[in-house]
Amino acid sequence: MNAHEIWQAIANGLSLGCLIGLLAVGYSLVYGVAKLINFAHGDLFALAGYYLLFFLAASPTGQLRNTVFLFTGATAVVAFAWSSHFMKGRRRLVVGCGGGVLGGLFGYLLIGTSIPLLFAVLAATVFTALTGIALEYLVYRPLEGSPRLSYLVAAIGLSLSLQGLMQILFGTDHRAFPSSVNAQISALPVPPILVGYFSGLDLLIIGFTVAITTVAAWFAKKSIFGICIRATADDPVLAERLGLNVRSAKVQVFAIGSALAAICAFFFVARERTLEPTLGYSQGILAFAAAVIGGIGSFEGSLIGGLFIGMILSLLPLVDTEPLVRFLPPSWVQFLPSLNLSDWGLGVVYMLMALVLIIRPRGLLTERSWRDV
Amino acid sequence: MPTDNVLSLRRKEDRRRAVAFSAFGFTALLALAFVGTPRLFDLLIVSLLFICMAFGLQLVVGYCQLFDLGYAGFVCLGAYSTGVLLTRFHWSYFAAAALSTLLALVAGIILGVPTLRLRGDYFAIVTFGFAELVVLLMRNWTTLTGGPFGLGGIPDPVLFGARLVRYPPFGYYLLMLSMFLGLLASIWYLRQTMLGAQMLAVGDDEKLCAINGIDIVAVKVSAFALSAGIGGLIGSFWAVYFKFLSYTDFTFTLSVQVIAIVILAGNQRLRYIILAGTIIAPASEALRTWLRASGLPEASRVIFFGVILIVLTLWRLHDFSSAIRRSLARPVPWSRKMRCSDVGAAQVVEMNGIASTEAISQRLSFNPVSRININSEVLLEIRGLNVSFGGTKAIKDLDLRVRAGEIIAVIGPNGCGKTSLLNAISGLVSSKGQMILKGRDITDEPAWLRARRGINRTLQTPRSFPGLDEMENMDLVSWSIAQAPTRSIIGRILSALRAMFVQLPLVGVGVPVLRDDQTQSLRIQMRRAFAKPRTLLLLDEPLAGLPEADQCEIIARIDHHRASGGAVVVVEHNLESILCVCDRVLQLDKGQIAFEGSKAEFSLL
Repeated sequence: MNAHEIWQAIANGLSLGCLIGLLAVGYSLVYGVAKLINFAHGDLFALAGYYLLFFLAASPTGQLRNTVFLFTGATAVVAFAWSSHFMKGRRRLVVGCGGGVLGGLFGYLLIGTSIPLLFAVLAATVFTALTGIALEYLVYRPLEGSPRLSYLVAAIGLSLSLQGLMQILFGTDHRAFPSSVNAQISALPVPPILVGYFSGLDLLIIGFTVAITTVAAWFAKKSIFGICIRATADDPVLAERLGLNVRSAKVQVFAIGSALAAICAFFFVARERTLEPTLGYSQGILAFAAAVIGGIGSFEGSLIGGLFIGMILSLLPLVDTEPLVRFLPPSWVQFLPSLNLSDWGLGVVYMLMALVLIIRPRGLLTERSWRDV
Repeated sequence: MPTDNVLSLRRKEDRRRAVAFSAFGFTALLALAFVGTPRLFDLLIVSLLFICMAFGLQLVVGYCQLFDLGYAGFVCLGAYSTGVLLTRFHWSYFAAAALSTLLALVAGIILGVPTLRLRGDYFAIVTFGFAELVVLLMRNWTTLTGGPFGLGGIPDPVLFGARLVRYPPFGYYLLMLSMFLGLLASIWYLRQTMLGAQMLAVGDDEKLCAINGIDIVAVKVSAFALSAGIGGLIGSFWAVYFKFLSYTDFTFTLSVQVIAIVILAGNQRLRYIILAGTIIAPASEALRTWLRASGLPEASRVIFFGVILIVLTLWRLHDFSSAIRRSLARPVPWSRKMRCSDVGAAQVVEMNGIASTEAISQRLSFNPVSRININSEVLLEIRGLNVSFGGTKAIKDLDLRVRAGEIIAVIGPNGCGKTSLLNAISGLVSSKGQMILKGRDITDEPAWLRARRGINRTLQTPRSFPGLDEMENMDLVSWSIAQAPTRSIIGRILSALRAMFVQLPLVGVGVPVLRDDQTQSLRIQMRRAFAKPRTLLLLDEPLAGLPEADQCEIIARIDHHRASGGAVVVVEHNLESILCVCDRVLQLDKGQIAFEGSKAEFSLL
């Protein structure tokens, strides 16, 4: 192990951490306002990957057609929900159906036509945001006012349903972007001093994540929009009494969170070159742990938590346990669990998460305010 | 007393019915064994396996209202420890099963002690992490568990000299059946014990638990450990039945499967769990077969559980947990006929005796029985008490000394810190300053411990545990508050587990507690408050909204309490009434003492 390897691992951890942090920001955003651990966030992330594949794929397949189902469903629900602003009764169904048809048509026309990368990312972001809104409307909104645990159960159910749905629609194979797109991504420029440590994509990930987190934190603190959202988070009842539109604040937050998940999905699939339905589960857990470690509800905290986890995951395999094994009596070694630390990365993350929850219960345990007394 | 006869009859009746019911069920299931095909056996075993797991999880999810996402972790622990003990160390099955159960139980305690203080959803996350950690451990401990290759070749268990045959699995069926019936009986019994009642109480209302001396953390840890132990036991059966263990069997999907059963059963009656289990487990197996046949990925059956969870939550909407509570109040529903007519009515009449004409005449010329002795011992001493909520200071540098036999009226406008003072004394809010009760520093002690040491608090809006009926409420509270105050965590858990062997005197015979019935809760609260002599009683507006006759009764009881050697601190707006009994008046204003003096001095103002 030399210094070069360590630097490389740190660079790798940095970009991986930003990726996890970006997903964690989405968790924090939704948690901050809806006070709900949106387990389905990770699955939206995986779904966004499939949306991207749809927009980038060159030849039509059955799986691409299945994406059109999702487009249709999501746009139908969102159109139905949105129409409540200006009409009532059965006519809303017409709007919903119309929206679904338009979304489906849009998807159908696009089957097999590869569109430029930037537009593909944009379109996938829009559709993921629409899906997020649809889920909020279908599942979380009817639960308003019920105990927290009902939300949690529904969120878990939603996550499993999405995961199962993706497995049925897209199969369990590992997928990746077409090679032309990959070539386009690897052609991103890198400053000469960083060559060997970062790829152009890594720099893009780091830059985007840091920028979006800073902007989001600034927006939450200073802008009227952010203040409204924070007021909603603090006390939805009071916020509603004061004339803020709590519902639309929630919808906006879900849309933004899902859009971030979509961008994160693009980065992830471009970097790791793999996509499968259970990705939402494995990555979602990491991101969630990051959000908890950094303090769920805070953007900078989530990013820092993500960086922390990224560093652990990439630095842990470098630790050499050989001396320890030599130190132990040989009769023990045959009963020991694996001492290869790269096997234990996830375990360390879970332990850290539990530790943070246990040791720093302030803010986690006692959100009791003077009103409850 | 005729009531006693009715009650003992009731209990005998219940027992007889329970025995008859289980005997019938057992015979039916046994009879099935003679007509069943091996395929049916397998299905029955798997169903019973899941029902048993749901029994275990129900202790945590149903009783304590805690969401445990890591149940599969305990099953995994039990299964692998049995597997390893049988294959590598050639233990007998009974010993291995016992050790697996114990291991899971201890793991439950170790995990529960630090995490059960957490709020609901964080607890769920930590348990989830634990289960993943266990699975990771089994994957990486290749030397012992076979790691990614799985642990195979688990031998058939030998029970009482007879080796169980894997095919047809009749012996396994009997083993599973006896486990199932044992668990059924144990959980049915648990509901009748103090621990069961405490578990329900903890799920209902934690604040009320705290002021009644119920050790919330210890009760939760016991429930969690028992549930983990059941998981370990089921795991040990899993190991010998499936013969091959792979860590992929114990992932989140398994936990969700069990959770789906518990949630489908919804209101947590044991028979609904059985019903839900017999629906979900075979349905899941059928789905697996169908998915395999139609070429779809088998893992996608999670969609089934996901949809169940969503639909059930949406369908039940707000009364997701209240449905659980309502039904848990009746563990013995088949003897409903006898309840209200005989026993309940007798109790109600007795309790309503408060409003007697005698009390009204007392009110007209109230003459306190006793007077305070200035030199009596100091019950409670408070020095420099400060309570603040965020930036607001509710109480600033308050000093107070309460002597035995004293009645102090705390008065003042709304928001002056009266209730905060009571909360600080009873330990419901965190405060700064020193507090000494009967010469013992109780500054750092939590509310439940203070309650056991003799600080008895009532709430302004009376509450009771809706999961328990009126008699159970009373029994539970008077028993809990009389328990010895223990500080060490091991002692606390042991004393909570001991409650498992204390039966509630009266189960399911009282009047059910209604959420909106304030008089009922008030009755329970007042009976509890005056039940124990020589305590420091903190009453929060006990007279508010009561008819005059009841006010008189309460005032008379306050006076009696003083005569018994206790002290009373009473917050009250009804000056006229409270002044006729109190010795000292403490007027608060903006968290500070505006006036302190005897009743006579106050009257001069």
